[in-house]
Amino acid sequence: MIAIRRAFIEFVVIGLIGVGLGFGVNAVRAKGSIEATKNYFDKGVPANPAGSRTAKQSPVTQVEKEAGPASDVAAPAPPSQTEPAAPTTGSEPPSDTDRPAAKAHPKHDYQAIEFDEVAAIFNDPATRQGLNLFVDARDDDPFAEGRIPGAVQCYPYEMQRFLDTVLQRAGGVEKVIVYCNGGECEDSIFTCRELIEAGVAYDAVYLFEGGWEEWTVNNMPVESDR
Amino acid sequence: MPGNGSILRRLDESGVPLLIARLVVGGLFVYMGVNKLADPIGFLKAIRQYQIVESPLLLNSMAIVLPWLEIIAGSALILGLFIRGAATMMIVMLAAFTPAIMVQTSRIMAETGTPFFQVEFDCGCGGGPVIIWKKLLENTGLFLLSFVALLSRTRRFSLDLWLARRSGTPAWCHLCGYSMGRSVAGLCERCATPPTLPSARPAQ
Repeated sequence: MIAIRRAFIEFVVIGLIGVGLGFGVNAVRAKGSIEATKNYFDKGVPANPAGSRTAKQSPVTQVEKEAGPASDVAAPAPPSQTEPAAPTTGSEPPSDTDRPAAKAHPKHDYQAIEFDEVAAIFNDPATRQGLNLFVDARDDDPFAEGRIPGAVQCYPYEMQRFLDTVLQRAGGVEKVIVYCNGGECEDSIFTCRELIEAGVAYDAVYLFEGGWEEWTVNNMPVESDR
Repeated sequence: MPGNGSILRRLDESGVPLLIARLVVGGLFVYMGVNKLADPIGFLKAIRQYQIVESPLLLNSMAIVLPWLEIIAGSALILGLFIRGAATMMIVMLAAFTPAIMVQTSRIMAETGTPFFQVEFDCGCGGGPVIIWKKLLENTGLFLLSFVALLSRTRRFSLDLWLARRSGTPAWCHLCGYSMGRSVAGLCERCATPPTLPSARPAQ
């Protein structure tokens, strides 16, 4: 009986040290810290996103549009099945009844975009002028290893690291194309949600489901830090 | 009494099985815990696939705490400190996650039609994607070794014994490290047995 009580006390002591160290280190670690209460795996479109930050309402874009032909070189329009509704004046996602039928995707509630359209947008001069933005939702290593040229990183589990940069770049763009590995990867879905929650207009955000796999299979250009 | 003990008991008294169990289980858990700690988000994503908890708070807390429990319990086993508590912790963790791995395996088999011996996925165990039947075999071995550590009555080669000797109120025999039971001046029944018995050890 004494041995059982002793074992139980030891078990509790080890448990308490583990809990204390776990939360303590998690609070101070710079990379990979987890917010205890946050739902990292919510795929739904946020109900009350912050103010819009896209080009369509941005003063910068309006100036660019008035100043020169840059914005007149419109990116190829996605086919009708993924064509969003007319640009909204706010960032709130359309209600279910407003949403085109093609948006009713089995895995998520965001606008999907196919490889051909992504490639066309990539080759569009407007993209080089910063009017379309590629967002890479993968972690540091795969991002450094290879990415779509010009893409900015936005790993959805560490938004505090990336959000400022992404929002800065997203201000003034027509389309924000989010991708991750492709296949079963869901990180691009979570990034879409985070971006819309942070204020990027729902209609500007496109999810490239084929992702990095499809990009490289088609021998598209790659940018790398290594 | 040494002479009357079974083979298992004599083996246990040698302290060797406990030492092997401590080093193998403790070493593996520390290694896996450190790997998880290096990529907490990866671990969070891995345990999410089991769908055993819905609450984000609970899921995130598991990802925050479990690697540390493995490291602390593993280190305790290696050092020989709080051996029974650490072994219990190992058994609880193995008992929670091994069935979860089995359920996930059967889910993958049902969804993809993959035969059992070919199922491979990242179980969140700290070693990346693994062939599951090997993982289940490994966990069974760890489970048995954890029970050896839990049930062993000796504390040879351990910090527990060193502390017991220093404390003055030892739970373990000063001489042989065996569980005290009815103590006689810091020696267990076995060591305190009168030297006239052929099997007794002299208390020096």
